Amino acid sequence: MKHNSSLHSITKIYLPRHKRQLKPFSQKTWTGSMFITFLIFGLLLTLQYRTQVAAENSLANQKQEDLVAILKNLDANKASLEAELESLQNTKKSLEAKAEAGISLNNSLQKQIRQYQIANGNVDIGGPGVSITITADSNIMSYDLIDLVNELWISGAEAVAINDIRMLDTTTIEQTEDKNNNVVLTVDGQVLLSPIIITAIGDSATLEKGLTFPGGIIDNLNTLYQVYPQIKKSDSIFIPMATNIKVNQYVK
Amino acid sequence: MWLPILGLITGILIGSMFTFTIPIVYAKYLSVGVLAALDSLLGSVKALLEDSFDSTVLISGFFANILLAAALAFMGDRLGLDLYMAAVVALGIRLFSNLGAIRRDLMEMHHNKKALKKAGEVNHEAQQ
Amino acid sequence: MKQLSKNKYLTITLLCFMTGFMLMVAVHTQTALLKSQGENKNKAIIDMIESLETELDDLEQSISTTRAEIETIESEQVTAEENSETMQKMLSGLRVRAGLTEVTGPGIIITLEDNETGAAQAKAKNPNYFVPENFIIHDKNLLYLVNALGLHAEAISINNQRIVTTSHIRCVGTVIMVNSSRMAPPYEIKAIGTPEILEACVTASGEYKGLKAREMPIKITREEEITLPAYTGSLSFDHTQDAVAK
Repeated sequence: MKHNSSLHSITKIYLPRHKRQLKPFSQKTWTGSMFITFLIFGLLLTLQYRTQVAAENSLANQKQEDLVAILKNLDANKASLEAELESLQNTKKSLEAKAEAGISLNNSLQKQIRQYQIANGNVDIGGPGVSITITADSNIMSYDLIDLVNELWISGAEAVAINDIRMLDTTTIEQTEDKNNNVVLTVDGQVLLSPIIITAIGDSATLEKGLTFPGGIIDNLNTLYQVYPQIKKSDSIFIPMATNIKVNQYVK
Repeated sequence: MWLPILGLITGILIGSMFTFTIPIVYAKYLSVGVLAALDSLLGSVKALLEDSFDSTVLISGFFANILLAAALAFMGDRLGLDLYMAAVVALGIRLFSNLGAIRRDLMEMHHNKKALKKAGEVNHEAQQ
Repeated sequence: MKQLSKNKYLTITLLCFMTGFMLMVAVHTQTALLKSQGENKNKAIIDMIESLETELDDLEQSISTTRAEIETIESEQVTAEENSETMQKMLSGLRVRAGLTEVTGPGIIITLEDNETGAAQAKAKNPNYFVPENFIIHDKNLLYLVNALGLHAEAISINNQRIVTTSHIRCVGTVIMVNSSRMAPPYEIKAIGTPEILEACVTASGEYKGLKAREMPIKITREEEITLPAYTGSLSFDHTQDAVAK
């Protein structure tokens, strides 16, 4: 038999001549093209297998009774989910209502806190009101100051201060004499320097009237004691927070 | 002969990595395409054994047959005829025919190999 | 020969034309057939299944969103409740200081009364020069005594009226009004504080000395425990605004 030394010809030895077709043999590329085609075939095969599996499982391939069963199942599922959603939304609504109540509670608490902070002198405050100025040369006494402050409260003052010292429920106005026998006025122990300025926040007109009506305190101070306080209405009285707040032992 | 097998395995592996599928309505076209590809492959194996392999014939035939089979099935859907059956029948016949030829070729190769071996032994014995 | 080939061509052309026409008719028929077949009963159910599945997805999405919202609200609720608690505590402290609660503690009670016996005596002695006002307690007496107490008192009340920041004492005719509430003698000024110091404060004040000099009935008692009433009036600050220090 004829031997062919070509490495790629594996069959030339064994097949008889008549069967072998003497066509040109592209020796270099048979492995390449076979590889490619086998590869592509492999790809298509797997693709087709997968597609087939998907097709078998697809809804279009199911029997009608199976489809109906699936439908019933889904309906039941939907009903239970809807029920759960409703209950969750109810919970959410009630929580929201509770939260709103909480917010309004906090708001009202906040309001009250501010109200009492003002009353207790814990905060700086401002607003319309009056200011009463008493100059150094007037011979005003502590009793006059007490009366003036009391009159302001009667006229509806919301806050009163003398020389920016806040008047609280236990504030004491006192009078002493210094070495030169001059009158020294003190508020809660603090000496009042001239001029003495009393500030009050409230309705300016009412406050002024309460002080200046005939026979009232200013009138008396003028006529009886020759003391002439200057009263001025204002839209922007400022009273700082109290620095004379006591630390209580019994009332806490 | 192992390289094409490796190619097949590689193709299968790569194919299983991707998760895309084609729409189910076109599944039938893919199936006849696979059949046509298989026929091309077996034809190439037979040509290889019979020394008539032509790579251009293989490549062109591979793609042409796939496209033709798919086109036939597609036309069949449009016309309301199961034309894909024609492809199935024709390719099926060729499948069996090629497989048979491959089988006979392999048996003949085996037989000749044995004969050669025996002749070699006799020569060897005669030379001693 | 040419005629034959011409006939051949014509026939072939005609046949081709007919084939093409039949082809297109078949295609159109099949397309129409497929369309009408498209609505088989399974398709209806499949459509329902698919729409249900979308609905279920939406429902699950809504459920998970609502759950997250509930969680947020609940955690906010906790913070808000903590804030409420803090504010309540702060508020209760403020209310005590503002005089809105009953308070108890050691202190003194100053009791003042009109000088009825003295008035009777004076009237009997000198009916023409009898001045009733000299024998009754005036608003200023109470005012100045409260002022004297203030330095060492933690809380003050007159009879049933608590003295707060805005409290005032005035006379309307012969009636003394504290916090715009009518008072009647005897007047009890209660003050909470260290009893000894408070008593000393009062006795040192000019007012006390003045009242004693005029023989007005005034008595100071030290107490281990006195209770002052809560302020029940209004505390409104309509004109007060928040201010920033200059």
